[in-house]
Amino acid sequence: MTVAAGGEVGEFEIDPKRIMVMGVVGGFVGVYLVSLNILLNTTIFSFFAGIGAIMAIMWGADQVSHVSKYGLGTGVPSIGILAIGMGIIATLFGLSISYKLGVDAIGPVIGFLTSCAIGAVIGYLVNRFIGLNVPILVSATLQIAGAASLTLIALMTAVSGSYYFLDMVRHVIDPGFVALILITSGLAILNPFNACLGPDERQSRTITLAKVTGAIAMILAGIAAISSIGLISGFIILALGIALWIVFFMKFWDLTKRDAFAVWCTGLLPEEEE
Amino acid sequence: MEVILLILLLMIGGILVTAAVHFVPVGGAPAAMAQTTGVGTGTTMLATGSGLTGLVSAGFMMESVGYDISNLPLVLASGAVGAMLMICITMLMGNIVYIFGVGVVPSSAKVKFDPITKLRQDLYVSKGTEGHGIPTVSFVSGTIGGLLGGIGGSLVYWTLLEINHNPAMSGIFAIGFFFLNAVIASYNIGGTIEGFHDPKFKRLPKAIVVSTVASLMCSIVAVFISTGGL
Repeated sequence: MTVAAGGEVGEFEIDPKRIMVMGVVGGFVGVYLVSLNILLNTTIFSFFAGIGAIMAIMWGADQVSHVSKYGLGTGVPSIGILAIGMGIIATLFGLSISYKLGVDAIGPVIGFLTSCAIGAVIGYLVNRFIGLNVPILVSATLQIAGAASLTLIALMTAVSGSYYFLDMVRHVIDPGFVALILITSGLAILNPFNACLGPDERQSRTITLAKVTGAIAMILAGIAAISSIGLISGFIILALGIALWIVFFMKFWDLTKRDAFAVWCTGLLPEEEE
Repeated sequence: MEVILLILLLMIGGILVTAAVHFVPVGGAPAAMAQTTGVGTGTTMLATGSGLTGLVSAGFMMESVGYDISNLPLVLASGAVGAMLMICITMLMGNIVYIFGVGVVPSSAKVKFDPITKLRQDLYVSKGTEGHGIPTVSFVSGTIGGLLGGIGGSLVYWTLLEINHNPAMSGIFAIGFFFLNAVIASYNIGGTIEGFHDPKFKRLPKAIVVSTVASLMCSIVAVFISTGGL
């Protein structure tokens, strides 16, 4: 185990389990509310998936912050990149297999569960054979992979207006928006802790930054959605993303000032060594 | 039978990527300040940069010759050349900055004499640093890394295309596969490595074990990804 990346291990302002429940429930509710699109034969309800993505990103970023405090030796981005690597593989599998079985509706659930399984196995292998010796690595990689998969599914649903595999292939994968979504999801999950780490890192500020990056992901999904599902539906996602970004960024700015105060007051170094 | 062959090819691709990363001189954040040998960025960034260039060049070759099995060597070679070019240009530009910008001599702190040029290294390592720049041995090692990574990446891409016949889907899956194996290698080398002469290179078998299991799992999953029926 190398030097910790900052902050205290094992102290939480918000219980990680609560954030996990929020991430899973919020993510799935967001994705499945897009069913309204199919029921009412429209595309304007796609924005629910964007909100679901923000919830999943919060969960992923929170787990990244917990595991990175142990010091991975390779920097925070590696775990985010690993997460979307596992996430995209499992997501494509889940959506594809449910389409082949003729039950498209369970695609997101299969993708999510597969991602969690791949995450747990890789976490175990890395701990066991490579000897990273991070006690929470298995649970963390499991949750980060799950969050990454849910984020990818939610953003892809927002852009394609449906969680059906063929719609996603037509609207997200073939035009190449999937590459944009892949890298945006990765950055949204890894950036919050990467930007906030240090001795004064606090969970509430990191989580707020995760909401900010989530809103940015939603804005980008909105721009992609304008070209894939139509001007009005895309514009709703874009406008909501911008509104949420402004709200969350103001909150983040307040928290930054709150946490910076303690550093500001530490005083100057003595001029001569005594 | 054919399915098992496809899974096997995907696994070989994944293992090649993991092995490739161990050859690339990754310096990480310290190298960005010329305080350790290697290119000043993380493992995943370097591997991804060269791997994706390999994918693009392999895809370009496949577009012009068609994805018949007899063209596989041509596609793999094209991917390898693409990845090697990318990593070589990165290392060359890095060296130009280190030599003419920072003003340091490319030198390795892990060996006393460069195994290829036989030139003395330790005299040129600045005090308080772990070497700097990309010496000849690391450059050669990085090129081998590009070769293996390019072959691995394009093998994965070709195999996936064989399964689902959709270039966009194969491409994005290959990127995910590449990320995963690159990060496994990155955890194994713990952030920085100089190349095949670095003592950390001996850890390679451990990463191969992890990569084999992880790649097997992802390959089994990959066979089911297509827009066709079961």
